[in-house]
Amino acid sequence: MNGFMNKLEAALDKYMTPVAEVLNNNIVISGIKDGMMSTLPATMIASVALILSSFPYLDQFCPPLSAAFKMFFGPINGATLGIIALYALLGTAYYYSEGRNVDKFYGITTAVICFLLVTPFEKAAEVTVGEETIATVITGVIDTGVLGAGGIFPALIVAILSISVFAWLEHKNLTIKLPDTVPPNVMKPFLAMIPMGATVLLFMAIRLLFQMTPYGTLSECISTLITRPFLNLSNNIWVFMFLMFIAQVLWFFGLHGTNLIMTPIWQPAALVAMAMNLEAYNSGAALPFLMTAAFRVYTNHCKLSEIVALCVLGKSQRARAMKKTILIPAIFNIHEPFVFGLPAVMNPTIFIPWILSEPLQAGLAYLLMKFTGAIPIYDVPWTTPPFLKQLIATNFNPWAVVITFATFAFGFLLWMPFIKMLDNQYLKEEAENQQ
Amino acid sequence: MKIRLFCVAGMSTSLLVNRMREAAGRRGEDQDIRAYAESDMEKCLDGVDVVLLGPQSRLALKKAKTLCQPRQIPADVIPTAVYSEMDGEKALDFARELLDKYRRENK
Repeated sequence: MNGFMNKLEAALDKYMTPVAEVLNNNIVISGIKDGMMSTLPATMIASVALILSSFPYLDQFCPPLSAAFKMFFGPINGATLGIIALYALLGTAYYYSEGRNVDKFYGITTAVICFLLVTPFEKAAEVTVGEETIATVITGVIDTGVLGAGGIFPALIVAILSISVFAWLEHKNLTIKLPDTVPPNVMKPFLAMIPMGATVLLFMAIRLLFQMTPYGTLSECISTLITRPFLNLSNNIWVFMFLMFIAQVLWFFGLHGTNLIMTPIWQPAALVAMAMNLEAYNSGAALPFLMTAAFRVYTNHCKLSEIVALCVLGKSQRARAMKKTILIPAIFNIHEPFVFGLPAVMNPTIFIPWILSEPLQAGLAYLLMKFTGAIPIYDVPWTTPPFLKQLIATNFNPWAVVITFATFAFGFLLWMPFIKMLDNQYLKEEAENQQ
Repeated sequence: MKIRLFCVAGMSTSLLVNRMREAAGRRGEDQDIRAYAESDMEKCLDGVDVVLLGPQSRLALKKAKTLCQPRQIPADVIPTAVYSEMDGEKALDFARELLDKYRRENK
């Protein structure tokens, strides 16, 4: 067993650690990751407004209050989630400018100009005059549809592309040279002008180029060619289970697998899917996706199973001493005291449940969710205790409680024999130490 | 000593921060110890003496060092043994030794 562990660790160091390092330190990936994360406050506000504007069961108990809530909290959605692509654009432009070491404000300006350049300022509409309906095009407007969840991918790509070009030109020193006596604050806008202008010209060319294609616009092309496949991938439970498995292998070696694997690979597309689900939910349409960023409310608490198992079944002094430090943080989904305290890290006794339990718990949650329809719609802060979290996330679908309990119980049963084995080891060690 | 701990969200290291504060209190030392998220590191380095990372964030050490070196702050990963026991005393000693070593080497 030890030889196997050593080999596994060597393989991990050789293949996985560099990948994880790239994922974590690559400025494009971090820019997108941080940019998408920065949309969370807007999505959260929209979620709370959505919960309040369609408060569960209120329309049955008190229709006037329900209508008042709808009127008051309804418009918030349009200014937050309705134009979520704009926030993704701003956030990604901000963090990617930081990564590329260019002035953040001019980076954001460049990204916004370029995004608007490839966005049509018109909307096809139908106008009814008397009896007649005429198809027409309204000019001078930006369709908020292109700024909604469907626009996130184009926004991310434009932000990365435009700032890459901008930064490349700026670091090439392709700027207007002014004498040293010019005050820095006067000089700054001039410094940004040539790189920004050249980037804008490039995007103007891109706009013209795409007008010649059947897609018409860059956004449309990206939506068809990139957004769909990506979303299908993030919506796939097998992909999710596989990523969770890798994350657990990393955790086994004491690395934050969740943050190294799930956050950069799965989360950005899953957040787009969640925004699309929220849009559909808000307009009363069927949800397009089963799995979105909100699905993680069913997996955040997975480690609670083994933690409770240890607290309930553990007879050794070590297990009893750990109870005090691991249980309460775990209720708020903080598991490091357990992970490093047990230790679960590099512990061959629990290797099997460690890498299998969570992907299987996720699979179980997915199956039950599919059958009961308790699909999480909102993402809830990950430190919210289980049960409450899933209830809020599904807009108070009682099945969410059942699913949460089922995944917990499944994990508990799977872990039971291994926790007992570990506890017996501890008991034996403690008995030996006493002699 | 101004000590800053970092992990992914600054949650689990904040548990160690409490232990370190207790340990400092027992020693009668007045220490400024806080935990933050890795992503906020750059904003949290003003006047800091030592930067410590949770072992689960050890891949961020490279990034931490590039941020800390120009500011002359020593940075290192908290040993797993110290972290697993959530031992405030040892963590405090580790920070102290890290700082002393850095000051000796960079005189």
